[in-house]
Amino acid sequence: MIGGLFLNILTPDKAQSFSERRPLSNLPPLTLHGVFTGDYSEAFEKYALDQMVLREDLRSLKAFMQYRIFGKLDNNGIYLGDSSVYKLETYTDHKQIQYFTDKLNAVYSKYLERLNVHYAIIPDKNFYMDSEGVPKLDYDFIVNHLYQSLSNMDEIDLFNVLKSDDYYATDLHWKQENLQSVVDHLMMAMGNETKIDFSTYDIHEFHPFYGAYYGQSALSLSPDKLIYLKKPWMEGITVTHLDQMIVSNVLYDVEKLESIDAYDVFLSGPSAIVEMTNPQATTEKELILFRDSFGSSIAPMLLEAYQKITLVDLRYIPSDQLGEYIAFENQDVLFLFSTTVINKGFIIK
Amino acid sequence: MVFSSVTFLFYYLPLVLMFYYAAPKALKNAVLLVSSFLFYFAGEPKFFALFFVSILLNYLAGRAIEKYRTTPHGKGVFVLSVATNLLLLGVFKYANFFVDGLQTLLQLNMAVVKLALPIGISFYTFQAISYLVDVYRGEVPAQKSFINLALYISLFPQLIAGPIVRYKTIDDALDSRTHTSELFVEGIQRFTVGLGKKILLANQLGETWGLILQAKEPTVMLLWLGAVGFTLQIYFDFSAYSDMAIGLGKMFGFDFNENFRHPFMSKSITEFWRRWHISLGTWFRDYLYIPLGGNRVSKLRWCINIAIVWLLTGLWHGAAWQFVLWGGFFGVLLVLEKAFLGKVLLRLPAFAAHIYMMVTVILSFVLFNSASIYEAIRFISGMFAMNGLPLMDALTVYYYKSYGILFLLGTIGSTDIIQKEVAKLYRFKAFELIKPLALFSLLILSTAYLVDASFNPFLYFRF
Repeated sequence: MIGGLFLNILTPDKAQSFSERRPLSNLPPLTLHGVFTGDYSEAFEKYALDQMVLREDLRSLKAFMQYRIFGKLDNNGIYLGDSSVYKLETYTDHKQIQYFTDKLNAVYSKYLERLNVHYAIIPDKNFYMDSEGVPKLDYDFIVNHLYQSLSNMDEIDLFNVLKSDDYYATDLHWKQENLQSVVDHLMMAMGNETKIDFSTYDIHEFHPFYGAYYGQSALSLSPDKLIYLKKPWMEGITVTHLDQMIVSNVLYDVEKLESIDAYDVFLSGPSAIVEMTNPQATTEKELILFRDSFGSSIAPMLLEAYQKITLVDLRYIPSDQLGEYIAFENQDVLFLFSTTVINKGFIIK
Repeated sequence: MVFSSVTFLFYYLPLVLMFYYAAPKALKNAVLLVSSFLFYFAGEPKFFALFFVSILLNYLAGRAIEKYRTTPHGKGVFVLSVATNLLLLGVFKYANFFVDGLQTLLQLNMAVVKLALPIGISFYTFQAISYLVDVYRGEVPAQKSFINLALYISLFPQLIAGPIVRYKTIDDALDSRTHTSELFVEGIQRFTVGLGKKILLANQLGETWGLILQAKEPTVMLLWLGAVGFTLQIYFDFSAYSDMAIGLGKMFGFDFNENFRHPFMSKSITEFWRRWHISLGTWFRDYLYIPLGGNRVSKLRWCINIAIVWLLTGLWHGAAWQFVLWGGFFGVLLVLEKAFLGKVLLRLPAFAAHIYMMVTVILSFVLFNSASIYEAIRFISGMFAMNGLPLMDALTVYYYKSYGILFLLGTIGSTDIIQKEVAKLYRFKAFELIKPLALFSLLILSTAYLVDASFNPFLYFRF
């Protein structure tokens, strides 16, 4: 313990934890208010936990103990399948799912009544897990509830289109390069006749890609390969982050490949409202895509078929502000959300 | 501050040990007192003044009781000082409970300021009362040194979650104690084992109760998993704290009494309470039950004595009706065991008596840990499939598989098997070499779990 004291004092503090994708606590400032309210003690413990010497190794040791010695099937809800890492979600939250559909209906009533509106549920990869007896969400409930609640919209079923290989092994997201059948399915359902052929795109690879679950598992797993697909016409597009008025032609932000979350390469990561225009699109159609982070990687692949795609992330922008940014006229509309977000519907604004 | 925190393990404790052992003998108590005050202040700054005033009053009261013990004033000072301690405990721990009860009874809806519970008040109040009673009875002289008395009440190893240390067991050590490397090593060993019990077993076993709470519709077997899990958790949590307190005591030259002796090995509730939270049981016996007349009274009076002691034991654990009922439940069982059940249990095969004790204790802890009596009834009836819950589902099977080894380790660890097996190893010289390595590994493993977890409170802090 005395050794730990000196090592903790002498070891320089780290700014962030790459494995957990968060900034680490710094030494809290010593103030009278902090000391007398107890806030200082609390903040110091957070700091001590975050800056503990050999922290990452200790987390790995704990994970090893959990799986190998105590025989736990998961560690902090992280389940190791044969070829993939899963975050267990056992509780299907009916209230939050109801809230989610209420929100979508409110958006529909306010903006979308005369438009061509579809919705698609992206199953989280646990749906395809073949391990017996591992707890999962009640997908039947989610599908049925959305079907009954979103009666003004047309459903596009993706459950039978995707498979477990379409997701990264160490991350929750789907792989862009595997979305050919998803894109075909969406195009057909929304009446867009453009045939988008993934084989005509250039493949760009990034390796190693340590997904979100890699860090959470705290074990030494094989990292993924992150692939993003490009075509020359992508140089001529415009990407505008409407809420921040940042204009560029960056669909793939390669600087993000070296950041905490390399998945942010797709459209630079989370953003409230993004407008992409492609003057060389095969149609003059426009699409409004209400989406979560899964939408960031599929949207570039839809851009060939749409002159303009507006991506809206209702986690970051209240729906009643949408009128300030979008003129709802005759666009196609697609609500594309993962079951993880649907089950945590309260995060929708 | 809790023992199972990085702040305590890798900042506070090493610094205190260094200052303590660097200090000359005359200053050791002062160093320990300042450290103990810092320990309390770090966890509960807003109640530090109350804590300090309480110590000062008890110091002055002890001196006054001794001075006037043989005069009528002595009794007055004694009664007043004990009443003051109980009043402080009553106001901060039970005022909300009584006011809420009164509002319900009189159907009032007045806005009332809710008082927070100062950490450790139940423990240090009982220690202070035991000191005052012992001084009044003439069993010990009043402590002349304020530092020593303050140290007795505030000694950080047992300050916030016991064991309840009697003044007479450490009064000599407060004045003068020896520090040996053997005792220090023994202390480290006991502390580290306690830390491992708390972090590796108690915290993980306790997760199973959370599974019940988050389940939309728990199964019968999930309820049993949670109930057994919590029963094991509270044992490992609380006994671990006592282990750590005893270990720390040894590091600083004190010898605290044992607080647990494998209670789940009992074959009756009477035996269980002789092995569980011994310092609380003996406190109530010596300072309440026997002064009330104990069992040397009429049967009716004896039953009343038992009722008073056990309802108060329940209430000591928390200001809520489920705790009162919990205490009452044990009171009734103890009367029944004394009346006839104890004899029946003696005639039963050992395993049957053991099952009776274990099931009773598990059900009692469901009541103990439920948010209300209504919730406890719901859980207990569910455990016996009385409210139509399914017996088992895929999720429950998953949890049984996932927690199976932990439950096995917990069950074995709650008996004396490991202790006996380890004792046999002392015959081998190599064990002397392996032991420090094993303890070091346990510390590293505990730290690994600690670093990985963000929420790690001790259960007994709410009492």
